[in-house]
Amino acid sequence: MGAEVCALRGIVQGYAGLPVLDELWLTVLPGEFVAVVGPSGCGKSTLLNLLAGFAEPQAGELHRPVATRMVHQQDGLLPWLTAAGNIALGLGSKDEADPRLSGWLRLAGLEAFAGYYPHQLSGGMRRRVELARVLASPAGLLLLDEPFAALDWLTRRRIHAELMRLLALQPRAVVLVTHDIEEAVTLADRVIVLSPRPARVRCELPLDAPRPRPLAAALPAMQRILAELET
Amino acid sequence: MSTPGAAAARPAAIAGRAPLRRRLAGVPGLPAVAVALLALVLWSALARWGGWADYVLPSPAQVLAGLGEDLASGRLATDVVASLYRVMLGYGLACALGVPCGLVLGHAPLARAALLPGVNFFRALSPLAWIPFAILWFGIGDVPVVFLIFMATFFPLVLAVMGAVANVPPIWLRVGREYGLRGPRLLAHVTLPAILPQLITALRVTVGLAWLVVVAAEMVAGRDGLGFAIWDARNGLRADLLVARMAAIGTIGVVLDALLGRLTRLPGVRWGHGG
Repeated sequence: MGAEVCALRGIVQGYAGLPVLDELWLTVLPGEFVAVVGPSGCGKSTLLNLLAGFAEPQAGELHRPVATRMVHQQDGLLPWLTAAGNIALGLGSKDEADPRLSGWLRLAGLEAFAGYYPHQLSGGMRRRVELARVLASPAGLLLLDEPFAALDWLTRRRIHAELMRLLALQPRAVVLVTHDIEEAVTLADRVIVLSPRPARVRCELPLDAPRPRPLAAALPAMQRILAELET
Repeated sequence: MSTPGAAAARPAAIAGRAPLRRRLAGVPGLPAVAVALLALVLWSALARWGGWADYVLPSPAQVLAGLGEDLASGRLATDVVASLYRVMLGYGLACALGVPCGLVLGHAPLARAALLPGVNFFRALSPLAWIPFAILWFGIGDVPVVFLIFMATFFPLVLAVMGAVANVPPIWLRVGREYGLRGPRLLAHVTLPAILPQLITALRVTVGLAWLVVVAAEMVAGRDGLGFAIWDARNGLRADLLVARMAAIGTIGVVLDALLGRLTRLPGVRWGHGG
């Protein structure tokens, strides 16, 4: 049982008398990609805040790695740092000549944009910088809070492929919270469907087809999740 | 005009006029120089035919001669140095204390609750109201002027820095903490760079304020400096020197603002100034 990256056992959490999470159980294994979907306002962000260590649960047992890194829904790049400077933050180094840095810039396809500031980059490129930043960090668990929601469909598809490629090179446990069921079933090893608030795990769907997987291979899972969410 | 293409000739005429206007506007400084020359001509005409005495309205030529006299005697240089020195001291002190105070007030709700009303009060109080006390406490010379400049610029700086800190998007602080920055390192690597664009704007506004106040303060509490020189020229009915010194004050104010304005083009702050 010590193999998991993080584990929530019977977690209860609420704010000012409003129960948000109700006996939530969830474990994530090393290198596993878990997607969490659920109705709006069901407590997905509360779940991520617990995993990130920004809050303590009111009841239940929570195991989380010391170091987690999150990609937020909002732009989390620091605008006074260049693309290289932002990625260097993930490496925990302030040295923009760090040899690992050029490696990450190459992996993320950002070599030509190392010296660009975030406001000079497109939305898709800014997301790539953020993904490179979290992946460059030694964190064992990556938390993605609807990181692709603001992108257009085509850019989102490209970033998905990019993320899969980077994760294949640098395997890492990932928890992705998303509203996009297509995104969940094409990227994740396992999809967790939460109930409306207070959130419990409503069902869990393993996806066996290898990543990256075409939507066709994930359609049955998508239909099941839709059925769960719509009842 | 009588060619078959009368309709075609019209757009050509319009196209011929508009580019000329645009070409003139495109020459750097040309519109401004043209307006200045026009104003100079108008001023000369008024001075020559307006019927006013020289000490009421000197001509541009007289002012130029006065400026030459002030430059040759070294008086202007001495006054400029004296005024700049006082601004450097008073404004430097206000920055050195005001920026840290603003950072503390921006971060500590208790300190804000305790001190903000006081800061607001003194910011709303004209620094010129301090002139009697400045002279009573510090006499005549550098110190009262430095004190008045400090009183004029310290409080607006504190408020500007405090407001900038309060407006730092929480996401940046959260990202900083996620990447292991805490306490003074979070301040140095997130808060300070995040407020830098607003800080530079605040510095520009307050250095202008310091330059306004030094003139007023030296008129009453100085024995030299540009403000004193203005009063001195007025007492000697030397309107030519008065205008020459006014021109020096305005020019230095513009230069100070332009120097600080260059900071907005630094690579690490351009994001906050419209790219």
